[in-house]
Amino acid sequence: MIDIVLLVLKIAILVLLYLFIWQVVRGAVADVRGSGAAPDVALPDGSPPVVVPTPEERRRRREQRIAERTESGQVMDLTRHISPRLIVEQSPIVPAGVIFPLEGWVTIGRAPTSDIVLDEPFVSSTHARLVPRDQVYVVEDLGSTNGTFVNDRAVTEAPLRLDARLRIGDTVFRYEE
Amino acid sequence: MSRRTTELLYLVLAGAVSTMAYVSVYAGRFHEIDRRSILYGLVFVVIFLVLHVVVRIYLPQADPYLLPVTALLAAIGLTEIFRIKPSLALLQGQWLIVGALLFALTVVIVRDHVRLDRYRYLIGVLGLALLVFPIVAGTTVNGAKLWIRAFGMSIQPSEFAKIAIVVFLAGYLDDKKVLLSVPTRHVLGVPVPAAKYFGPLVLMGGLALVMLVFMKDFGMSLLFMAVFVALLYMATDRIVYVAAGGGLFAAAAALAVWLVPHVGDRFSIWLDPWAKADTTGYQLLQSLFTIADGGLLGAGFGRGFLLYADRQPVVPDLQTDFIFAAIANEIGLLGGVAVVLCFLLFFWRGMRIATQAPDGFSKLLAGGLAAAFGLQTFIILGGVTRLIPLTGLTLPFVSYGGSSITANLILLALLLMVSHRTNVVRAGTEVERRRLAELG
Amino acid sequence: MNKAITRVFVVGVVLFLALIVNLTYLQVVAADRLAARPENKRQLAKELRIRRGAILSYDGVVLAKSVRRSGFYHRTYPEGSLAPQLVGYDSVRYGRSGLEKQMNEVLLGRAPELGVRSWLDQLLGRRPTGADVVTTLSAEVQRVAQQALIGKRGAIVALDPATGALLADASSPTYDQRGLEDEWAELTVAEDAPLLNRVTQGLYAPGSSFKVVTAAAALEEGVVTPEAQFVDTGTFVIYGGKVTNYGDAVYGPHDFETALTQSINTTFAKVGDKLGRGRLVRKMRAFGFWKVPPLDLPPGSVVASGRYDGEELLSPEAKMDPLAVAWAACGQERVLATPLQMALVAAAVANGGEIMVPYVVEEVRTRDGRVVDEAKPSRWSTAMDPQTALTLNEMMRRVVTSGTGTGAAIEGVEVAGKTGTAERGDSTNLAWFIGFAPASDPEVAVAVVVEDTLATGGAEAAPLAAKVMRAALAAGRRP
Repeated sequence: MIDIVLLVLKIAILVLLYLFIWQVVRGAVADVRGSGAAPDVALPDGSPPVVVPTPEERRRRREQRIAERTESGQVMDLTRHISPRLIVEQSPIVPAGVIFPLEGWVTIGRAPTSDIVLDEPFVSSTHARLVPRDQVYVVEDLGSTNGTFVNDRAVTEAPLRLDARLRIGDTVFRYEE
Repeated sequence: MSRRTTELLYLVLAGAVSTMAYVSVYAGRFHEIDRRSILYGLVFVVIFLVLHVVVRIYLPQADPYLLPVTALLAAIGLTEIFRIKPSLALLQGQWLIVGALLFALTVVIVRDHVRLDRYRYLIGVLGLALLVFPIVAGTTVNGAKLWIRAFGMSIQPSEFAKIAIVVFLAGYLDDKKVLLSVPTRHVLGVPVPAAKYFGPLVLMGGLALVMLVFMKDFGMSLLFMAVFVALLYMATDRIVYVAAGGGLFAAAAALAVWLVPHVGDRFSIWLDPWAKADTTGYQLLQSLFTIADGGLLGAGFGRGFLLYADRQPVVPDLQTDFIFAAIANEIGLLGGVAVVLCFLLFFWRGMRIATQAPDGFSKLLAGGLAAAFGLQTFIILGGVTRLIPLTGLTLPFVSYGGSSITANLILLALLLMVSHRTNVVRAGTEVERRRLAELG
Repeated sequence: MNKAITRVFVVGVVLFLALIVNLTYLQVVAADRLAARPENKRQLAKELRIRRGAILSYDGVVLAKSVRRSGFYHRTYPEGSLAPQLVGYDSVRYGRSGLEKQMNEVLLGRAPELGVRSWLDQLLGRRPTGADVVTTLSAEVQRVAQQALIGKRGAIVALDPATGALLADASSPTYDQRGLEDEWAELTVAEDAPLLNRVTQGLYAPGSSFKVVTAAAALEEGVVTPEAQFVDTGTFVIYGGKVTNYGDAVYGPHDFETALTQSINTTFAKVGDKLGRGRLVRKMRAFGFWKVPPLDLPPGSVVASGRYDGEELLSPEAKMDPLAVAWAACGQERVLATPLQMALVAAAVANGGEIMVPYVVEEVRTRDGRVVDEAKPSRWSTAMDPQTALTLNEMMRRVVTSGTGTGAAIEGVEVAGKTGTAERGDSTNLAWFIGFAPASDPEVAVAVVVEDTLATGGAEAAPLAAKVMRAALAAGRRP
């Protein structure tokens, strides 16, 4: 009797072991295929840009940021007609067409705490920042190793005009409003 | 289904396997099913449920598969130790609780591994100190000097040093990778990057050699060198480093085989264990015999022939370095392959976390830790099966030993942290994002 | 960076696959080879967990059995040193010998004749139960034979001529299996080789006991009759050499029967010369010389008798000059025989010329008393025709009543036999006696050899044979 119980146990253990492995592999492969993780940034698929945070969250955040991060006297008038944003034109790591909406100060760099993270070899940890000033966004190079370029000219500080091309490392953004 | 619910489900599955294994061992030993054996399995499940809750609170977006795989491996290890020597299983269970505590502490205190990067040099120095300490104050076990005795316990600091050094290297290499991969001059036509960035790297390489010569710890030395080379390659993408590192270590190993008797012995035993079947080759041969005896299915947990009439294990060090021989004997080829696959799963998830990670430090940290884990597994499993020369390393989560299980649980905590950050950056909730940002 | 990480991962996967392939090799491909390595003692140690069957004498005395102690079985030999060379030993350290080795699979309950273990038993990992082996040995006869040899070197074998069943196998000096592991070093190097089973492995010059073979050949070929007349002058000169009698005795005129009873070498030399090499060797082969008696013992434990050059058995076709043939007819000149073979010579005469296959395993009995294997006596060889056997039988009775073998006489029983005294050149003799009893309806045939004695076969060996035969007759005929 005990022999039979032990035999059943032995087989059950082996079956469960492989069931476990199979389930983990299946689940993990499904994750890899992307059913689990949605990307942090909106991907272009013909539809309007999707921003991850909920509308209320976004509004709250925007107000907070404007309050916190704008230098005095440099409040940007964010009317409903203006929505400043950077659109990726080409990049080794971010898909082209990805839109980064701009609100308040925005930092760009390799550090994971940056607002726009560019994990490329030629991007410094804190490479540059975008500062709203006199109703326009101004890009400031933060002493990066490989420089910040607006319309292919190295700059330390430059205002962004509509359709300006901002290059940081190997990533090129287009500025829109 | 959320990641944590998935994790819980797999944990329950792992718990079922562990409980069944316990029951089997109990029944195989005492010819009766004891109700206590079910209790043992449950206690084990409780430990991992607590870890699950810690992860649920602090790292909700972390990979859901690593913890169950760990639980399964630890369950198999603990069962086998229990089967070989019940008194040791109790100790190992206590170490598991200490490990779980350290895991929770690591998660709660560190929270975000990126913060470790700030203390990289401190951590690097700590790692070095841990490695060098046994040379000064260590005791010699099995011909290798890698243990220190403190407070009545033996601690193997190299298991912890392994993690500290990966943290340091990940930070350092991430910072210097561009400089290391851009040659500033050529020596004999070979591009050589600026020398000053090599200082710490040469130090690391030298360390592996020091371990080899002064501590005669061939296994750890091999592991350090291999992890070092793997990290260098991952950071710079330059195969030259792999060739150089491999060549350097091969040369050093050849020299050690020649000059250090303990290392030379191991090498000659690997080539021909039959020549010294009664002395130095005995352990490896008994390991091979024990594994071969398992056959396809094995006799089942608790029913293999692992102990002589006087309760001595058939292979010396069966519960530590040679635990896989016991497992392969009792659950056969099918079970042995399942265990190897579990290690492969862990390695795969670790590497996957590395490729997904958003920044270089996280990538190198996860990649380095996963590589260290995978290589350690390969070195000891290859050793006991005579695929490569036998070098003393523990089998992570499975072997008996407090240092091994606690250090590897910390390694798991770090991997889960990297995974959590990655997934928060990619798809986490705003709350989680904010929490991470606050930590920075 | 991701590309490099992926490559490191791929290398890792390859290493893990190598582990799996190697594990498969160890546990499936090379498993049997590793299990069979002499360095691998796992099998032996594992067998300690099986209740090994007992070895019993025919009359129910336990010669070897296993006792359980904390989950493992230990072999014990309750009778100490009763037929230790034949029964053999079972040691984790030193392996096995004798019946312990030959019947190992049966004793461990794994032999196919015990019935195929059900697939369920194998699947469930149930351990088999060993079967008992009942030997043909008679504990009583064996004890008498061993006692007879105390203080001597030599061997005594007794068998049932009608069946071939071995009744006693005594070899002296002997040892005790219970002390084997402690005394192994001394036992293996001891000059008088106590581990050797002299009955089946000891090669001795048969001396005059061999004259039974020569006589059988000569009578059957019509070279002589029992009444044929000879004159002995003390020497027979042939081919530049001479054959003399034991103790340089001179017998004068006599018939062939007297030549056998008085063991006259010159007459047998003349008869051998007349017979020639071819006919003598042919008869030897009919008696079983040059063949390994098929006793159920491990290979190497039983050796063939015949003509030897040192350790090497010469071919039966090997050249012999007439002097050699004349001496061979007297059981000298390179002719070597085991005591078992000489017992079979006696048994051939006793059994009307037929030699039965000698055997020692009577039956195999499972734990629950089921007899799964039973010995079936069968003929091994026809040594001579029944008429010759009858003639020789009568001549051999005369050896005991009025010849050299009077020491073998038993009161109230007619005994037939032949003595032998092989001179070793160092003034010591090999004393032989072969014979059987009762002569008219033989129940037991024996061969006795005593090494290093100053006495003759008649004085030294014949009384021992009488003791053993008396014990065998007292034990009674087996069914």
